[in-house]
Amino acid sequence: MQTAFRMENLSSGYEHVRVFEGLNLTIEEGKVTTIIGPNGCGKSTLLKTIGRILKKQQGIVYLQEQNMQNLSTKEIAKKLAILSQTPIAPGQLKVEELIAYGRYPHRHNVNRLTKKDEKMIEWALTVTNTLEYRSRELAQLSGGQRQRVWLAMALAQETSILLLDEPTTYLDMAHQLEVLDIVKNLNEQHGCTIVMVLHDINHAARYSDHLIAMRQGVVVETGTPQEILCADVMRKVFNISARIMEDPATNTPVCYGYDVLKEADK
Amino acid sequence: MHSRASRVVITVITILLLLILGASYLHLTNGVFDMSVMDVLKTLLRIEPNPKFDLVIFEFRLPRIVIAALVGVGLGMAGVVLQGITRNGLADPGILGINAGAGAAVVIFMFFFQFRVVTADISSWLSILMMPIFGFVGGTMAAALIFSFAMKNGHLDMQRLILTGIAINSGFGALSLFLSLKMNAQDYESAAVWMAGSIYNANWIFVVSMLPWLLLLGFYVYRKSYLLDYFQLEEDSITSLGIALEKEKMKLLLASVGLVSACVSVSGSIGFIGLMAPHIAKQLVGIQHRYVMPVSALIGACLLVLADFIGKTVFAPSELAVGIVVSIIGIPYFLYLLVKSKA
Repeated sequence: MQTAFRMENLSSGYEHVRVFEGLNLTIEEGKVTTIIGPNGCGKSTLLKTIGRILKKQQGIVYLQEQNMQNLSTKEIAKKLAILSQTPIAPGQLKVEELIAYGRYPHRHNVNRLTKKDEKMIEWALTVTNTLEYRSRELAQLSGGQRQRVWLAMALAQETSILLLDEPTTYLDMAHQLEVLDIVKNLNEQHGCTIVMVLHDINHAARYSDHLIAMRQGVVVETGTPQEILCADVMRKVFNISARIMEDPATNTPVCYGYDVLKEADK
Repeated sequence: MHSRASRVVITVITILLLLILGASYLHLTNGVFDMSVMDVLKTLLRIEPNPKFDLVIFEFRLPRIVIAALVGVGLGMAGVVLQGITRNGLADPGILGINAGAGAAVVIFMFFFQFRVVTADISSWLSILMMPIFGFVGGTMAAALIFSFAMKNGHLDMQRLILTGIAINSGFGALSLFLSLKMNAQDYESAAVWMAGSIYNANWIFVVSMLPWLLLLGFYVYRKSYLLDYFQLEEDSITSLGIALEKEKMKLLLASVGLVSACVSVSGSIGFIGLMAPHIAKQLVGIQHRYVMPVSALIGACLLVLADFIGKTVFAPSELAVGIVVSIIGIPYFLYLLVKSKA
């Protein structure tokens, strides 16, 4: 099994705060891996660090067994795309113009799109169901539509690895599943490796092959959804007593209720 | 879609060129004494040359128009770059203190060297050719200072950039004023006139001294203008696309500092052109920077030639420095933008 990412003794954080330290972790190629954990546990920091948006402080990240340090940022952009948590673009920009931005790492002539560029943009529009508003301006889109357009921009980058930082935030229930279904389809039909951060553990369990559970900068447990969504791990990671059953429709574990643990229960 | 956009751009550019020609025509024919179109044309085409017209056109009015246009082009382009890399629509070389830095360097240059070199002809040429370089050093120093204060976590904090820019601006302004007050009366006068942003003592040497910088850096920022499109995204997305953000920002910033310095060294500090021209350009041709860049350059040229014409004629025979005319138009425009951005 090839690895998409392998981290050795990785430390990262912000100017005066170390968020995690000495992390050793591998993420498999061709799978959907989701990082879960409470607020401030370092899941977004981890995603940003392996996506080189945030500079690591120590250690090595291997991207498909190549030391990321030795790759130029443009070379990395051909291998992995990141959908950040709060992307911003001017409202006057048209949907297909934004998606064309995703072609940047592949472009030689900056002022003209090649046939290949146009084909990839078309594909990204199709996969994300955004064809119908391709020539609309971003300001005219709803939150759900806009999120799919951003996803399309990341897809136009034509990478085998996709990093998604809470792609369902601010979306209503139906639109959340819409985005996750697109992600699932990308993995199953197109062999994309997906690494994402999700808040909803039920979504994480339903759409992932692997879960990484973090708490306070430490990886508490990794494994399949069945291994992670159990009372014991939920208590350690989220400090909750979770009631879990299997959803007969999807055959994945679901947390249907929980209580916050008090000091005395521990 | 592309052909429509480029047709709009071509139309806008044509109209702007006509406007610049019109403003130049007004500028050429009006002044201390008026000339007819025929006189001007005959002089330019060397039909029945008249030494008096020759003097007025070639030594006074033409270089001044050319300088106004070139400075306008430089400031218009620098404004687009600065607003692009700071992602702040109110950024302007004047507000960021680059003008003041370049200005202070040129005043220092005047203070220490000018009076020594006016005697010999060749060295006065040299000294004028040196001015953009001095301006560039000063502008770069100001930019370096601003940046070292605005750096945070190894990347540029745009809020801090604007704030330190304002501080650096007044610091260098004070230095210029201090030095100019220590000059002898004659030097002081030329320094004061120059600092107010004036081009009425323009001559061909100024043109020669700034033109290479303008061509070189202008071409460079035009080639790089596509990057400014991407800079409208937030930083994480830019990095994700494989753009070496900090490196490209730094290169573009240095290029715009160079452009501003070349302009300041011949015209003194002229604010607001770098603010107004990009805004008007974006309203005319949208947000694609490879269109915004040339249009903003032409708008800058147009505004400055017109402003200089106004400064020359409104209070004739005494003249108003073009920088002051631009400020009179620019300040209300700046306030208008502020009010509009609040809404």
